[in-house]
Amino acid sequence: MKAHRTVKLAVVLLATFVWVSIAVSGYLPRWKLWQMAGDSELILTGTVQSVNSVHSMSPDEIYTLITVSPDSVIKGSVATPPVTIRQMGGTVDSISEYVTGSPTWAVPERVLLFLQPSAADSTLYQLTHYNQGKVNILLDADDEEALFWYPVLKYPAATASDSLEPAFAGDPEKLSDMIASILGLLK
Amino acid sequence: MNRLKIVLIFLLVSIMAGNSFGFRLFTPSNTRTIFSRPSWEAGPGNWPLRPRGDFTVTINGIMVTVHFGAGGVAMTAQQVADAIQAAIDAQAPGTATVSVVGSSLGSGAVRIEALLGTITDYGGAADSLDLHFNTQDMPPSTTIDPWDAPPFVHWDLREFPNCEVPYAVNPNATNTNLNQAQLIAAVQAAFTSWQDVVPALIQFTLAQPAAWNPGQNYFVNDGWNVVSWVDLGYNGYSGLTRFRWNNRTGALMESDIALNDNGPYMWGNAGQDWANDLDPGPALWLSTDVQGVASHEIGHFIGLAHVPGPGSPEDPTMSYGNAIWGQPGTAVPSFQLRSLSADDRDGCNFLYTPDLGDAPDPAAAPNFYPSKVHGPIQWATLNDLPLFQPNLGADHFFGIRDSLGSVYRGGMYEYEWLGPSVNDAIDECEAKVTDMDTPYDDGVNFLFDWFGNLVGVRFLVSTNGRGPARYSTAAGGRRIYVNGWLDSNNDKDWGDPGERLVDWSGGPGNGGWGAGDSRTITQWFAPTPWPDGAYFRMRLDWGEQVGRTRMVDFTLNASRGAAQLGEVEDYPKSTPLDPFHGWHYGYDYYSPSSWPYWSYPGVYEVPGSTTPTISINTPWWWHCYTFPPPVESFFFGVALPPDFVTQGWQISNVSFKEYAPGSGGTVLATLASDDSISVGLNADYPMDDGSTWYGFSIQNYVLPDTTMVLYYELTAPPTWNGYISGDLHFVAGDSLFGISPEPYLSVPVTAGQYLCGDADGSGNVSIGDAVMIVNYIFGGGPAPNPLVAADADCSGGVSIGDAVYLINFIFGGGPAPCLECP
Repeated sequence: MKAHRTVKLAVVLLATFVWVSIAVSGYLPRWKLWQMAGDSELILTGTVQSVNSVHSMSPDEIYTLITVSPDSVIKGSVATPPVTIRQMGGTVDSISEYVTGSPTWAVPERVLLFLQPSAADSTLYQLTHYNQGKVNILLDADDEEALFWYPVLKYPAATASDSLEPAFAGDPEKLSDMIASILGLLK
Repeated sequence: MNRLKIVLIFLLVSIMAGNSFGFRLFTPSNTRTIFSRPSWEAGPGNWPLRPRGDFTVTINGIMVTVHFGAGGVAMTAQQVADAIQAAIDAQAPGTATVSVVGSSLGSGAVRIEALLGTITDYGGAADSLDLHFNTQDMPPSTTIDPWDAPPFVHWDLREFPNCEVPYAVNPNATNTNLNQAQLIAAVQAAFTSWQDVVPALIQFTLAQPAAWNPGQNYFVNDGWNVVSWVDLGYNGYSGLTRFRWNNRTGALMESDIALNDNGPYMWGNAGQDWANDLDPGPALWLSTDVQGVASHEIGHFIGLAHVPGPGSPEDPTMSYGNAIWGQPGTAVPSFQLRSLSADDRDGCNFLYTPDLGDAPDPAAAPNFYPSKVHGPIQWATLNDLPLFQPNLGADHFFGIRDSLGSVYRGGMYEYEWLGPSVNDAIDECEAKVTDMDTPYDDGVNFLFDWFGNLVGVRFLVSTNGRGPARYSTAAGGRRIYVNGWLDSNNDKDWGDPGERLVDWSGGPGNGGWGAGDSRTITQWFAPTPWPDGAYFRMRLDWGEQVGRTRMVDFTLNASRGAAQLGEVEDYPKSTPLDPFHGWHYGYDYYSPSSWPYWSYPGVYEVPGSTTPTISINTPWWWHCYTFPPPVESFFFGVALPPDFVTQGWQISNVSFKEYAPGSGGTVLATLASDDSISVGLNADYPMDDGSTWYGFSIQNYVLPDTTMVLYYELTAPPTWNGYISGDLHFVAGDSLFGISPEPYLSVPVTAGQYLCGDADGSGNVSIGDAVMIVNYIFGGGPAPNPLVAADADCSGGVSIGDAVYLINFIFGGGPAPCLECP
């Protein structure tokens, strides 16, 4: 936990000067890997098991519960798998709700998730820093598990050339490298 | 003869040129055709492709993976599609049909469409409608057009009086140096920039609550569209929009905008001098323009999704790439978000230039057709404002853009509009375009028989000068398609078997039609009954059939969805036509039981005759009229098929009776063909479909300004089976006052009930008839009149066999001639 607090402190301190230099995106700053790791209570890889939307009448809202079966927990612990994530929006019968920029989910996609307790229900989780908390895992050209971050065009930079770079330029692209990097940051 | 013709004319209003990015739309259920990003690599010349790694597609929640492995093998788009198809068939059989739709040449991009199933993005946002590529292979100029299909998420303008979508602004912000009035004004200015887009119909109105409920904000579905400042977390999104919609129709129900009331955002106005005018707040807080960010979020509010943009000043407001804040200690930047780009306007126009499908009123009879765009007000409220109940008026036409740019119209968006809005008095939306077809706002003329059966429709098609995009005058080129439906079971759709009554195509593409040509078309079909409340729908499409889009551009799905070029109108029929009803100038129809005049038999009696001319001694029609101003004359016309004998038609016994239900009425005036007033079938106008239009008129006669019954008799020769129909036109002074709406008159005409075998027209069958037939065949004697009356054996012709048949009947006990001649 000490390391965790240290990371959080680092987030606050470093944020004081990263703003000037970050690529200014439209409406959500990019979060660096160390920020993602520091702000997450739970980091895991797993497989999406189910995606179900719920229409709550009081308050009147639609939200979606996503269950993920973890196969590797990188930070935190999972007492009773699967992990359930709560996300605003969804579709119930003929009514849909959507929050701009929300990620979509599919069964049985493989994902790397950065999670924190849900603001609406502390027994559930939500993605850390919105859609940046979900990273898809696919096999790459080398037949190795690689990371496919939220579509890169979601995070264009301030210049045309920057916009064509991956969202997390410099971050590991291989899952194994990513896990090692996260663990390194959490030490 | 324009007044006798019914016109469908199509306005194409070119609005804007240029398109750098292509707007994007939200679709109702994230069911667009999306493939995840494999490691695409464009081969030499950007073609063929070299897919690598995993390629995934999610169909109805089932993820299908195509593994291309190390790749490096050049594949055509079709090969890629085939591989995906094979994987789908193996993993989720029957869920999708994959095909290559097109390509963004020069970019290595490929469009692959799944025609079946529900395909969702993998790992992307619902508003991301891209094929995902290895963007590093894409040149910076690469753009990805939206690839959408209706229904799109949008406000259904049928609901909103004057097209005004309400919103409220809760200015209770903390991180701002503006006062509340300034905050509201900034948001208002952002809404104004969107409602100023032309020709989009959408408008906005600020509708504030009497008092703010603390929970009335972005997170709550409470029947209020609210823009509010909400804590979205430090470094969270500067703004988010959350909306609810009906995913079957795409109609939005509520849309709320949250502006982040947390750092680093310090909300201000672009151009303000941060250092001098505002408290800069914490050193790292960044000045953020209210109007600019609100403009972006309002784009979402109306249904537009993000578009990729590299962040240049030319970016659309809906792009990601715009800078939204200035550096600490500097002025709030006056950046491009406030000014909508061509892409932004295109998107707005695409969604909000609907053809509401309401049949236009006749120019001479405003408000004749009741509105079918919406029902009564106050079926729901939004921001405490009452909404109309959407009705069956179509709401499905959108502006289209020619992405082929150089081919026609220079890539400009075009908007089609037929005539002005109707029923303006009850606040329907008005198009921000000039109505260019006011002389032809007559809609479509439906033709009915005596018994209220729909038997035909007449319309006029005009090429009206729009060229290559819509039609081709070359042989084999694009044609005009006209379709008509009757909701015969009144289930509020037109898709049931037998409901499609008109299926016509012609004009350009057949050759011989040029720009500006107008042709009247009459389509006849079997008598079709129709129920109370039934709707007719007429649809015209240019170069495509029944709204099936051809690839004018990629903004619409290739095989389904809204038409790109064309027009549709819905015509309500509140009451079935009674054979003894005329139309009333108004909306109420009279019950036959209330009319003593309607005692005539409902069948069309044609007595046997010794002469070839049939006298029609029963009145064709009763008409009830109320004339607001005096009508000085009327003109009556009937359309007769080309094989209809027109000689010998006479109108007679014209009279007008005062309307007095149950009393029999009082005869107000009686006219006759030998009066000084001209009466008779005295004019003819050849029609494009080969029919001929005949008319008679009564001139210089001031009709009583009252409700009345028109009564007349018509005498005509019987040489044709079918239907004739007509219109009645009223003239006041030199002006055409009114044209009878459809249906005015349609009468079944059958051949006379001649006595078969009565070749000499004596009224009975005798040996004289056999003698006449023999003389006619062998001796050059006169022909029986009508000739068919001599067809005693009903063989379909006249021969010596008919004479033998008659002799056997008269002297040998043979069978009698058939009851009706063929």
